[in-house]
Amino acid sequence: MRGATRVVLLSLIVSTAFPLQLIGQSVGIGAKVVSVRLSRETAAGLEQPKGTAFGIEGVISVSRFGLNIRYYEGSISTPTAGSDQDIVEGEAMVWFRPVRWLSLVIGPHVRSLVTTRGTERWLFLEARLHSEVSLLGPIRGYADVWRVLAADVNVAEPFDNGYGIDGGLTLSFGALPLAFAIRYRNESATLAGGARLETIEQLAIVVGFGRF
Amino acid sequence: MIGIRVLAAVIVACTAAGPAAAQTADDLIAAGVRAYDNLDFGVAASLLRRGLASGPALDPPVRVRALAYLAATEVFRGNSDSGSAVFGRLISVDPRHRIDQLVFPPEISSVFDAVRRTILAVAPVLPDSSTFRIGESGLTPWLYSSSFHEIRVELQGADGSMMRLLYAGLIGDSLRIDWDGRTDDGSIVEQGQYVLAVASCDETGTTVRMVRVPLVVEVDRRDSIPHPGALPDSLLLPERRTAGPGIEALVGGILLGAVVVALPVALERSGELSKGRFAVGAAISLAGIAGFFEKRPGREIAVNISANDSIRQAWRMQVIQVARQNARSGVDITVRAGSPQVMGRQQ
Repeated sequence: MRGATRVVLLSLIVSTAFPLQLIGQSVGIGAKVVSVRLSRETAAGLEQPKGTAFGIEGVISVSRFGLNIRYYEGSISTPTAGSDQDIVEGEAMVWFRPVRWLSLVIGPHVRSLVTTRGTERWLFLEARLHSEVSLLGPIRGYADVWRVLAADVNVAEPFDNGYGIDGGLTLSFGALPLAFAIRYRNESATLAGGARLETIEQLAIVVGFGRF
Repeated sequence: MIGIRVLAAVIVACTAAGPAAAQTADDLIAAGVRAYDNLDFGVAASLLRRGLASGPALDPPVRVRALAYLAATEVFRGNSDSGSAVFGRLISVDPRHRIDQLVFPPEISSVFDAVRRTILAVAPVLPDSSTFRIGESGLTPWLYSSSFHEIRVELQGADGSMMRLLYAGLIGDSLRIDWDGRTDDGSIVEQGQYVLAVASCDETGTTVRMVRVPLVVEVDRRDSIPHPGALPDSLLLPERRTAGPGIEALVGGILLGAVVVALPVALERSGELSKGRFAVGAAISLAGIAGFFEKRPGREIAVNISANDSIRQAWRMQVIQVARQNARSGVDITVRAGSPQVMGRQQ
């Protein structure tokens, strides 16, 4: 919990200190709370630990290019298990927007999960398609779909493939620099020819400044 | 002997005809007026017609006087139609002319007035040269009409294009026109040749007579600022929505919502998916549907209307400021008028 508190405080400080709306650029930064649910299916059975995490995310864009950075940390557990599993996840994605409603995204995505069997480190290189449209007033909708191009996972099972989808709403006010976002994310990974299936779902609410 | 007599007769005839051949148009007209005064209407008509025909360039006042007497003569000879026709010619030459009732009796003036009311003619009167400063004064030609009718006064370029509509409406006896030296878009006229065109129209709006006064305009600019051109439409935002944004919101919202709800099912996964994706997917789709109604085609875009009003107001202020600055700087216009040219079936 102390770790979560530190993250939230750091997020708020960064939110207020970060320079906004650099000339000719777009900037957004915010703090988020994430509900995390992991589903791990192996020959031994199905585990579904879940929990709450806190983090920050930011975006900076210049013309048609940009950089997204997301990070959170927390702990997940199952009701039957005795111990929490610490989870830390971060990503840094660069993107290019050739047309107004579509962006091409690529970058590393890292996840660290402390389990009873040890610390699992998942490193992915992902390529994504991001589509975003203006819906209602200041509300915009978006969806990302991606595929894992390469992975480095320190688990016993070999990594086969991974896919993901992220969708949600963002709300940016013109008069005030406040921004909100709600996101749903689903990532799945297949290891050892299907012997192990990992799915992680996240439901996040982001509050910040600028434009996400 | 007979030949000598014939020769003498010829010599006498030639010397007798000498003084008549040497008579000028003015002399003929004066003789005609004397014949009229002596009630010798036949001789008066002959002399007046010869005087009008012989003078290649009679002074307008002389021509007008001759026409007046000729018309009266024809009326007294019983040729009312001929007299009316001559009065018509007189009014076309000088629409301002009014019959002198001290010279001509009421029966003549009544014929003249009846003809005048049917003639739609205007005589523009303006100085040969005038100079004025933009913003302080202007060119003020006077228009004198033969009768009450509709006219249209334009400042035209050398190519006949309308540079400024100075007046369109009715004229009674006379009318003063004001021109401030600007064209229709408010800019100061360029140096060059122009035409003051006065069109007389009948009750159907058809132009029956046109008077064109050539003008030569000289512009003396003293550190003046160019007048802002017309506000281009490209600076203005669309004030009504097109179909695109509404359809984009509707289709985009529904598709993105469907992706969020359905795609996780297609991914190879373990365990049962949470219900959170339904909430997010539904929110996206509903926002898209609401956005379609908000952005429906033809709806006014209040933000753009307000922005355009600001742009137009700023442009108007700029025009006012430039006009004021130019007035202070001083732009002098000199207009030199040529001889009027008359065209039309009531020449």
